[in-house]
Amino acid sequence: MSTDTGSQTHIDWEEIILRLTAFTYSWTRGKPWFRGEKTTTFLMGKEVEDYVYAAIGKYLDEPEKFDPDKGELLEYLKYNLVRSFVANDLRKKENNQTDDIFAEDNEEDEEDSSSSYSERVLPFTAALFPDDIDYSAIKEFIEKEVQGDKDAENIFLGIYTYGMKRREVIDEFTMTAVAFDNGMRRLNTVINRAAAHFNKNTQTV
Amino acid sequence: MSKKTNQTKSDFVNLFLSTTENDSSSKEAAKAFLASEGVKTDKLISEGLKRVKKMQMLANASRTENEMQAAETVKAEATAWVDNLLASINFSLPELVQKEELFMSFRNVENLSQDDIRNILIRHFTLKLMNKNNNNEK
Repeated sequence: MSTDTGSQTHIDWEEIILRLTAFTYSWTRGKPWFRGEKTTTFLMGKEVEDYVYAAIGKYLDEPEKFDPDKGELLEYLKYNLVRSFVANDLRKKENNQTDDIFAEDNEEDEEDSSSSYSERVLPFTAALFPDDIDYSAIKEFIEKEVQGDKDAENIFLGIYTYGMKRREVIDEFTMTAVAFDNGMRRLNTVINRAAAHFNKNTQTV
Repeated sequence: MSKKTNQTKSDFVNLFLSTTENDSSSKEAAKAFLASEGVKTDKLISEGLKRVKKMQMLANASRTENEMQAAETVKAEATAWVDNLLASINFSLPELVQKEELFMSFRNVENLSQDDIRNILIRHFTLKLMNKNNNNEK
């Protein structure tokens, strides 16, 4: 993607634009989990693309803040983007469904943190998921729904139970990349069904 | 595999993030996902590249402007420093040349006017302060 991230000289912007936009679309598609189907508190009336280019702009203005030792440029951009969403949401009074406020936007923490950018996305995303959902029930729901679909079952087991990454799941369950992608797509459909099922009574604006 | 026992909210959020990571795991995966969402990827790329290029130009212009402003501030500081130095009754140019390792011959110094000496010293101390500031930023 980039061979010299510090100088911005060899960055494949086409790849960055495609992957960062896809990530953002996919991330925001999970909004039923956050505050109900209709909520837009984290978008603040803007389009998804506005956040993508705001994250890129932040990097272009202060490239020295990006530390290649903590991950790839794309991970840094994803992290900044998610932080913007969470910062927007935390400023809204309807944010009373999570205790994960430790992920609050804080420039000083960002400077001091030694964790990788990809690790930092998790707590920021968790801050938008309500605490009062029964996550064990969701697990059972998904397990039941994927039963009989071997690849989806293995992917769910690998990621959810063992915290594996894509490559690890493929290696552990000896499946092809295509089988993983197709299985993941089916698992995603089940996750979306779970979102609708468990949030039907809590969809607030 | 070491089995985790606590299947908590963070496990679920991790699963959710895995789906978003998969949708953006490569250029091809991102293209396919965006197309399934109704996004025209060719347009997204062409307009996006133009937007990034414009942002890069603006960022570079802003950086150049900041550097020029910083240089002006430093030059003013150096000028004040040199004027104070030249006004001091203890000022000795040969001593300063030695101390600051200024490479100019005494024959040349003798031929220089007060304004020439002042300008040489301002340039020298401006560069010295800028180097010092740059080193402090690193």
